[in-house]
Amino acid sequence: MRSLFRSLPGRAALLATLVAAAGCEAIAAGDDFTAAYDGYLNKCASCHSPGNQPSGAETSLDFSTADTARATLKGGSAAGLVGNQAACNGVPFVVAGKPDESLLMAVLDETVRQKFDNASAAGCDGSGPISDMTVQTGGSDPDAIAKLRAWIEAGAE
Amino acid sequence: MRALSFGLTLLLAVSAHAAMMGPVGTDAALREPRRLTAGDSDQFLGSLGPDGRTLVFASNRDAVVGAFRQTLPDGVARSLFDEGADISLPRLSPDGRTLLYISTRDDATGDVCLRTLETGARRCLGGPQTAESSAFWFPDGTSLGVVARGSMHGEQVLRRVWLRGDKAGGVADGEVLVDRSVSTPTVSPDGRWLVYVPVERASTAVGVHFAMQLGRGLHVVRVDAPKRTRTVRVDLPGETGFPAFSPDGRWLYFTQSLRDTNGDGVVDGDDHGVIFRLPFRTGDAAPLRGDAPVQLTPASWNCRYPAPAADALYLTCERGGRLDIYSLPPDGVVPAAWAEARILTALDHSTDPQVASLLLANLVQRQRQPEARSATFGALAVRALAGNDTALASWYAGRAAAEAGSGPGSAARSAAARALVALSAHRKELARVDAGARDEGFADRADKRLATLGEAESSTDGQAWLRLVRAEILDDLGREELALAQVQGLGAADTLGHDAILAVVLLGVPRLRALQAHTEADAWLLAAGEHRALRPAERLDVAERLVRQATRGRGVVARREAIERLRAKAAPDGELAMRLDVERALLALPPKSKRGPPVAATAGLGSAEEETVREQLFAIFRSWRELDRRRALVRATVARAAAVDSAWLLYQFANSYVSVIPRDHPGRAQAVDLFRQVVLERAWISWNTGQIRDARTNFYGVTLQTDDLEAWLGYVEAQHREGNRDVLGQVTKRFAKQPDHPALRTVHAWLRLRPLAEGGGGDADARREALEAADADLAVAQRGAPGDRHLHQLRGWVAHQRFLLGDGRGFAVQAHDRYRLALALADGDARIRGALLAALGLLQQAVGNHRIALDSFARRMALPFVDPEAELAVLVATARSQWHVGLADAALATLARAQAKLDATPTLARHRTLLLDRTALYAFESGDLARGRAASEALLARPELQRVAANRARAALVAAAAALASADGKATLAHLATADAALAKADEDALRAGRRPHQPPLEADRKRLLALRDGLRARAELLLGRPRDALPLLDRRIAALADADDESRGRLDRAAMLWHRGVARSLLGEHRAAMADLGAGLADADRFARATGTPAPPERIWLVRSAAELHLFAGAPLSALGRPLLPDLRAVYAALCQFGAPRWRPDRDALQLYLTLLDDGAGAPVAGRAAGRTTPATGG
Repeated sequence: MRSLFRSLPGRAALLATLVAAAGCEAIAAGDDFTAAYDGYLNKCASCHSPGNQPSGAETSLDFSTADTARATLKGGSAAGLVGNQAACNGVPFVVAGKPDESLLMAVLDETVRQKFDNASAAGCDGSGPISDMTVQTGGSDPDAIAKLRAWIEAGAE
Repeated sequence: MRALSFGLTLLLAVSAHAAMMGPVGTDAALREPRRLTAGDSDQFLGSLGPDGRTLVFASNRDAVVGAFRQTLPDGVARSLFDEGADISLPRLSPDGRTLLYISTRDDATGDVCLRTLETGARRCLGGPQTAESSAFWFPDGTSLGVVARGSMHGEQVLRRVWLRGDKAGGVADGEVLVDRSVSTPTVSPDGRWLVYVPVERASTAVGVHFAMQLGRGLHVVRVDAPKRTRTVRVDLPGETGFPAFSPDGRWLYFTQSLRDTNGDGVVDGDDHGVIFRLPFRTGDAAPLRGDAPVQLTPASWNCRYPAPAADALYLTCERGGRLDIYSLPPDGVVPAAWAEARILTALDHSTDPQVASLLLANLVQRQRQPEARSATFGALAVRALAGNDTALASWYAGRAAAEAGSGPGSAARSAAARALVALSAHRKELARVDAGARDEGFADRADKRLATLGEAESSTDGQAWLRLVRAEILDDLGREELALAQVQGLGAADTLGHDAILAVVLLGVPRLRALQAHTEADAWLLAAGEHRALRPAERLDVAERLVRQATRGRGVVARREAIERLRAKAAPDGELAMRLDVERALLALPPKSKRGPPVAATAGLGSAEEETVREQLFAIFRSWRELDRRRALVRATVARAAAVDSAWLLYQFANSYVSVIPRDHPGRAQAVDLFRQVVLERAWISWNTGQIRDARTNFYGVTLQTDDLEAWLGYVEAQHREGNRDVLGQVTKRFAKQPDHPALRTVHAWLRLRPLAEGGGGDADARREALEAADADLAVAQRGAPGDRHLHQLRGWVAHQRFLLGDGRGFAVQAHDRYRLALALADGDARIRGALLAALGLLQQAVGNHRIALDSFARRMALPFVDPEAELAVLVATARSQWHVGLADAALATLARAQAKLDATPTLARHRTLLLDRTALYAFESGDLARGRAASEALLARPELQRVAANRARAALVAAAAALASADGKATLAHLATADAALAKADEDALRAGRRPHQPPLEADRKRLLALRDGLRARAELLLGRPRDALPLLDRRIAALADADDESRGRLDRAAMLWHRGVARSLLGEHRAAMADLGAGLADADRFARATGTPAPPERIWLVRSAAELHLFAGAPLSALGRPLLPDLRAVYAALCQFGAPRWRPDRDALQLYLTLLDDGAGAPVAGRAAGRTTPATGG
């Protein structure tokens, strides 16, 4: 008994540690969004974070951290756009399971952008209103874009 | 308004440039030769040494032409040695240790010499009996090829001169390789082949050296069998010269004079040089063929002396009247990898006619079908005609005829070529007549051409070509009706093919306008603008011509009417209709002065008027998917937006265009570049309007897009302005894996330099240390970003500061070279040019080259200013240099401009004190004593001076001097009393601040001020007739100046004080003592004169004149002077005669009289004969 008492908490603790470690590992390995953020999307914070938006930039996004980026993308939609881009106000950034209908993908992937036609906002299509954000960030990152696609396809959680 | 206007003007220049050229060394866009050297001199004949980093070249920067070297990519030019005479053709040996060159030091006709760079040892191989004109190394470095002539009228033969072994000797001992006159020979890297340009005698009466003309083509000979010459005719018009092999021996580069750029009717060596290359097959019996030369540079560039290296081609090019060394990728401006389609796309984007011709010339090299080649040669001929290059047009037309072929369409191609040949000949002759040549036979020959062109022609296109050329010839002969009939008979546009309809646009429409048939001209453009045979880009080009023609020189209402008229005739969906719709929308865009405020309260958004136009334009943009149309829309919008300062429209359409152009499209790089420039400009506009957050984010946006250092520095400055001091941490994090990244190293350097630029940075040693560390950072950055103008600018500034720290004149030379190079690289960038010109002016001013400084300042003033403080600084600096070159009146006028600027700009108020100080100084110099006094007294009243007692003391002394100069003794004394009080207060302040007032350096300053005060007070006492009160003051002043050096101003000050004391003593009747003072003063003035070479400073004139007068008119004995008077008198008189300024005339006349009197009668006094003068003249 004694040995059992002595050993159970220890085993449980060990087990808990192992589970936690395995969980963390699983999330880190499987979290495409975080990986995309760390590798690429963090550049967006220079114009899309509180106190940093230049005139005319989208105002509802916050790319300060991976968490704020994820939170503002999920369920959020574009706001504050002006001029040629104004037609995209109100268009959701992410449509879970549908990367080709997600504005986030359209601003990063020219193939999506060219075919983009969102029913929620007439005029937000590939004919000019959607900015190519890869120009702003100095180039495209196919790996990050693939991870974002996977993230959206998986439900954008 | 001004900032915006400046920015947009700049942007227009940039975008036009970006549309043509891209980064050097990439295949993304056309390349542009990159300038490597700079200076106020010529740099030429450059070549790269065997280490791949050392560029050697000739330059006339030191009065004679010398040899220089420059380390690439970050070095500046350094003299290799001082030959003391002109040199030419410097070439490093294959081991890089010895320089070969032609020297004129000991033989004015040229001697071939060698310098060992390490030791400076020099030996020459020719001598007075031979005249060497050029030389090169054989690849193994053991022998030279030398072109020399043995007698005045002899041939310029090529010899091989051995440097080592049994055959070693001088030029005369060399083996003759080519026994005829040659020019610029070169040897293949394997040492097997020689190529040279033959030289012919233009006259048999004199030697080839005196009547030289280049022969045709290139001669190729084997080194081991030099008698067997093969002549290669390069398939190009004009003269060929300067052949040079690529390091791998696969290419032969050369210069061709392609166009008659100087308009003298002959294409020769006086015209622009264009660089070509031909493949060379060293293993073949006939290694060189001249039938496919590849054009590497456009004819708008004037380049010679190609020197190919492994990764780059080095050229000497002339721009703006100066020669400099440039580099270019070995395959030239058009990447060799470009296929026909890519060249055609670039052609559609090209706006420079010479670049377009270069593209066509490269296109024809890639075309294999004769009919396609014939058409391209025809297009080249038409472009050459448009540029009045009739010889070149004739040659291209001939090639078009030769390749017209015999298949389908050959009749039309032959007719077109025939027409172009005739037109070229006609225009060539017409140009001669226009230039004043006799027109005898001109009409007859023109008629004969007409007859030739009148032959039956079966094809419709061929008929059109012939009619167009007939029309032009008939019009030139004055037969306008017949000419008009020819064009009117062209038939329907839709019956013509591609080349014929373009010919109508390029040749027929201008002819119709010349014949006042504007309606028909417009009708042809309308038809061509919708012609199916043309490519969309060509139709858009026609539409652009039509719009330009319809709107040029008209008011808005008339423009609108013209556009509506044309729009009514245009097919609804065509390119023409779209372009007219764009124009219609743009016509509604008013200039900035007539627009309202932005529709939103944030910066960068447009006014309501701009918004309306944007909506219309964007509707058009969206309605057409074709990129050609969208590009035309963006181009027209950018041009108009730039003209009327609409940053809003610029940003909107640059953004939308780059967002729709696919990543793999050839025009993508240009669209990205345009967008980047727009964002950068937006950042500067935000900065200048105080929108720092916008500026920061836009600057940062550019840093994400490119490694643009300007954006990085803008970002750092914006962060500082916002109070963020950890910029370096952010940048370091971003480049954690690239510690030598140019941006990181530059930011490092910038942060080291910032405190210095703001006047801080600690003592001299601390500043020097910071400068050295910053320069080391910048040198690292430069290795990663060669050719970046900002790095040259910053390193120039660092060297400039080192010079100001007293680290030697060499730093001034470095700073100058870097600034100049940055200036050359900033061609078209007004913002950087402005900063550099101001910096150059300040540098030259610091060196003492005030006239050169004034030129820089004048060029700076011609550019707009964003910052009024910068404008004020340039005005004040200009005034300073004007004053130094003796233009005191101009300096005052410049200060008046500065004053007006200051009065109109409240933020500049703190500089009022500086302006008053300078105004006082320059007003005294120009003789405007009243203005000088007013300025100095206003200066004394400035509130800043009330706060710092020491400054107030200085100002009071200036005011006292001003009052004294105005002969107001009482005011002088009053100001001196103020100075006394201020000096006492300064002592108190110093004590209160815990400093001892009399410790160095304060003590030295204080002693100087006190001495000045004594001198001024003494002179005021004299002025008020109180010489006895003046004497003790003068004693103190003279004692204070006892230790002055011979060359210093102090020596002259003491002479002046001695003169004043002499005057005081003479007023008191103490003539002997007065003479002793004058004698001592003359001794001081004499020592100063000998030490400085200034024979007659004013003090010496006063002294010598007073001594003479005291002796002659008051009877003071000359012996009391303590030195003979006549030598001083003669020296001063001679100087006044030699440098006779009008204001010295009274002194000169007086001295002439005294010399006569002193020579006559052995210097006996004439007292009693003169009108009772007993005191010396008060020359001061």
